[in-house]
Amino acid sequence: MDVLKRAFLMNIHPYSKGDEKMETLQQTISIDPMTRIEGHLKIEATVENKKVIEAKSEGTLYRGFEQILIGREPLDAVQITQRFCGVCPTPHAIASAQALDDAFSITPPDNGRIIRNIMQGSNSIQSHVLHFYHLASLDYFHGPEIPPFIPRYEADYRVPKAVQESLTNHYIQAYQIRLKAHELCAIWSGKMPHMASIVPGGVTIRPRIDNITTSLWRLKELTDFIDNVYLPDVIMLAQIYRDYLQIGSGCGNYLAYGQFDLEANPDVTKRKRLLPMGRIVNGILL
Amino acid sequence: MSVKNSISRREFLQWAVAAPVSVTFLPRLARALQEAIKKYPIIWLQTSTCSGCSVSVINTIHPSIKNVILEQVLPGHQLVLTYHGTLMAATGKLSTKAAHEAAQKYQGKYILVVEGAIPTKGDGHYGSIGEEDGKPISMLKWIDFLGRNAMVTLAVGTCAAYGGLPAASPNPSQSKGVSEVYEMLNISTAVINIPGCPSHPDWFIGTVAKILLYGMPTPDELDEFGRLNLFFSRTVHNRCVNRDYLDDGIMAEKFGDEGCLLELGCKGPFTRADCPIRLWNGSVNWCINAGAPCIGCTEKGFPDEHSPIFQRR
Repeated sequence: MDVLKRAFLMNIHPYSKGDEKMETLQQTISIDPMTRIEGHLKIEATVENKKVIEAKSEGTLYRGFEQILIGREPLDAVQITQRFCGVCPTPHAIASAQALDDAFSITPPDNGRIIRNIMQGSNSIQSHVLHFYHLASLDYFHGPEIPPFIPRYEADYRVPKAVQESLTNHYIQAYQIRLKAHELCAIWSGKMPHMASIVPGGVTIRPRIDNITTSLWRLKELTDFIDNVYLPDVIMLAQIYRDYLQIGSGCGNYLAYGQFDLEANPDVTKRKRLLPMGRIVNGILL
Repeated sequence: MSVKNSISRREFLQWAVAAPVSVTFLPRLARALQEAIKKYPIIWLQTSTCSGCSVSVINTIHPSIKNVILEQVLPGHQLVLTYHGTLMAATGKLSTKAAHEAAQKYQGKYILVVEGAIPTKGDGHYGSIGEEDGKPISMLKWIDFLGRNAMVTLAVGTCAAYGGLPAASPNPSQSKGVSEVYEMLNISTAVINIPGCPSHPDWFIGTVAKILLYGMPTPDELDEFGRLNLFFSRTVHNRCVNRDYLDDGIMAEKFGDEGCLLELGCKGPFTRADCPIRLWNGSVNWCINAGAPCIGCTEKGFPDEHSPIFQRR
């Protein structure tokens, strides 16, 4: 896609704020609660000479799902674990079902595997749109002068007024798009949030040609938004804030368990996935 | 627990955030003032929650969530979302300050929405939001302050209504629903339960609209679990589309079978909700039509009394 190629080829120049006097003193910044996330989080960072020298994160809620699961019927795990999160119940449901598939040595049929993937894919679209527009974007532009857009910290807003307006419109439009992504998911899952149809062995829903047809067209509507509104907004902000691409990489260690099974291999470590599992250690992909 | 049956127009006008204009000056202006937009501050507190109820509420189609928070949700009535941990622009201390200021400025006049159960073990330290004097402010403390000064409390979702998932055995955090915590803390603010896991956006919007237009529900409008009969009077089983299968004795025996789902553990007979009529997500589907048994998510006993999920109760 042209738009992606341009993003990867663009030059990255450090952003200079001019004659800013930097404190050499240590400064500890504590943000509690961190809003525009799911859940309860406190972040504490110690900054010295424009560098974060120490950072801590603290989850400020404990519910005890692991303890709650002990002693229950194994099949109940799919429903219980979904309630970790109302934004992303899908991966928890699917992970629970896959763990049970493994425990009972069940190989879901292709339809079961594919329908699980459709549910995961549609909720991923929902959660990405929600994240970019409704959670993250208010750090890059400000909404209208009414709650919940005020009060706000005056962040490093750089977008010109015209972009400010288009981002506001896209933010509003994105509410509709994400609920449509949930509708696509619910055609297969029964309802969203918290899906009914995922079970060990596959799914409870029998595919019908009308569901498949409507899903194709619902997905097209979502894809149009992603291609014509969402991606261009991401790239536009990335260009305006290109200096941000130089910061915040953390300690360089990342882990991914993979997503979207492409086959029914009983060995979960060898199963082919669209997004493979893997590790990055010290910034190097292993 | 005192329950106000209605809120007079006068009371609304007294705190309506409208430009102050002398009512005696011009009859037309007087009329305009009377018809001024009534604003209702909402403080949406997320406690021991998965945020699914917020995600579900923003799935509302007509009205859209934009209509609900940025426009008059009903002509002449505007909700003002002064605090919401997932949506608000402010973060950290600024967000906590916003909640405190709203509660103080609109004392006795704001709608407190609680999403999530409240951890009560110890001094409530299993859940905290923000800090005061370097110490975490427990969710229990938030509830105490915000609940006491609210006009009404909407307990959205089964967790807020009855404890829900965090309160499932062995309830490590000793989480409780709002009504139970209010009793513990001697708070007399009225509570309306809007359960569900998650709650359906229509149930939330419908309950809010009912309060805006008609004031607090009368006792006979609420069932014994504090839910509006409007949405929770009949069981899922009463109106299930699979009753014809049950009548014909066609029972699903394994997942994917056509037929009544009772043998697969359907809790429809014990669950009051209008899901069979309303359906979910723009009415595209519901649990039963996805071949999955009802898990009883609107009920006080969810999940423990409805477990194991796939076995008949």
